[in-house]
Amino acid sequence: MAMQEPALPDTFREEANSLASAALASITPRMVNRLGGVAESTIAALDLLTSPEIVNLLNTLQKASPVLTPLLGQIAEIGPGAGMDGLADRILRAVQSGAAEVGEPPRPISLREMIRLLRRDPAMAIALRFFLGFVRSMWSPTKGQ
Amino acid sequence: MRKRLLIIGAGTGGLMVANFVGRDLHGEIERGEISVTLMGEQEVYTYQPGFLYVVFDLMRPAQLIRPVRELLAPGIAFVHDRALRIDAQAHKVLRAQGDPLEYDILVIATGSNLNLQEVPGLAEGGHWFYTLDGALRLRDALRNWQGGKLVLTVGVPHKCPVAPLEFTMMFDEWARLRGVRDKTEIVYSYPLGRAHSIQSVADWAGPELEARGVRVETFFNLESVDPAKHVASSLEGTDLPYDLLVAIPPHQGDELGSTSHLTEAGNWYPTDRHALSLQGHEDIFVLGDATNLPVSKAGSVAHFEAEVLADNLVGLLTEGSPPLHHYNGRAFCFIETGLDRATFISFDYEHPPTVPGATNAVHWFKQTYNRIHWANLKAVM
Repeated sequence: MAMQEPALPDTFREEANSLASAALASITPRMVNRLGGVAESTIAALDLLTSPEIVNLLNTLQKASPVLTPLLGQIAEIGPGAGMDGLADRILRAVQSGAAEVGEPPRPISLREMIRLLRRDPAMAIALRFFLGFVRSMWSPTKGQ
Repeated sequence: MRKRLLIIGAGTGGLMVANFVGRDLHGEIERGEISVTLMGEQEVYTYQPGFLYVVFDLMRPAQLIRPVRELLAPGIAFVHDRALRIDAQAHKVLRAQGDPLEYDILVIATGSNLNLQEVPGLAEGGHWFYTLDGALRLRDALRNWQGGKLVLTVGVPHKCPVAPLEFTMMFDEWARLRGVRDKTEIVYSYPLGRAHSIQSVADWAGPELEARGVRVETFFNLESVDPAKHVASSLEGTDLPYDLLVAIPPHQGDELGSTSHLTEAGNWYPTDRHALSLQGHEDIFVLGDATNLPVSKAGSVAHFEAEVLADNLVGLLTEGSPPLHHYNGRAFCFIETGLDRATFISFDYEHPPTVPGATNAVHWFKQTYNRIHWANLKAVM
């Protein structure tokens, strides 16, 4: 007698079926297109950010600029294969500690001031452009069309 | 010569059409070949389905409001103004401030408004959850609720066709959790001879309401409210005394339609049921609550219509092609059946809905949608 797989609890099956039915009834072609685009952008950005080339670049830049040390040190900690959770937060915190290092006491700074500080250092400007390019790649209006 | 798309109304339908077209024609807009302008009377967008949750302290108003400009895709212009009259002959929209706006193609997405004046005494004696102010006032009344008789009345037409049922079922469970259900009488009234205008929904709702101990009063068309005596009276001659009156006020279209002589009774625009064009005007389109179509006045309808209309507008703006995509009357509505379970209905012109059993999963799907609606609105997802 063939072994039967244990049946899923009826309640779970009912919940899963109802969810799938509701999702199927509400989804649209444009939603599928956009979801595909977002997924592609996310995967591409993750792949780029965690590639050995980028990590090596960050390490090289870190050695080249003392101002960059706190910033890139924290980014490089992410390492290959890591996720993007908290990436923006890490960068902002690193830039804030960078601001403190150039002779000012630790304090919260505005985004405008943060960008001004970043632009002060050529290497920082490269990092900023890299970051903004990444953000743009995530949210470009033409992605996924 | 640059082609100008003008959209009046920055609600769900207007924003979605603007963003769908804006994202599809990003290149043309950047090169100045096409312009997309959204005109709205409010600078903020309000997610109206959230009002139901505000009433029960399940969502905060701040979670429902975002500036319109933050919701627009790049390249779309926003004009904060009220449209006063559409001059269809001259292809112009006159507005309260500033010069008229000219267009090549016009989209009307002006929604619908409460018509409280139709029922004498309602504004003074009733509560409702179809505006943010109304929802907050009802929330405050419920916070002090210790028991009594709640009467719910339904005016027609109204948007979100299942909201009266949702409120009733959520209130029932809310009162149980608060320990005041045994001191609370709930009366659900409806203008037809059943609990809902859609037969299958009525067939489902009747037993559901009965199981919750809700009294259903059919053929009750609210005619007047006596705020002093706390009595709601119907056209049919029934008087319902109440401690708390929750009314779904009748709705009407925006007065822009009547001042422009483009609408029929109720200020609804006569609209082609498939192409969504204003009847007799090939360069004017209508979507969302503003149409006279026999479909629910609901956000999902505006969304489904916006996708079809955007595809047609892209063809029209770039190739001058006639409408190739047809709206089929598609609608989708979640139905909260309490505070942690929900079901849904899905239907179109040809296929009436069935109501599946309520589950926790669908409730959480709805809760998730309430929070990611913005991505939908921005056409990011």
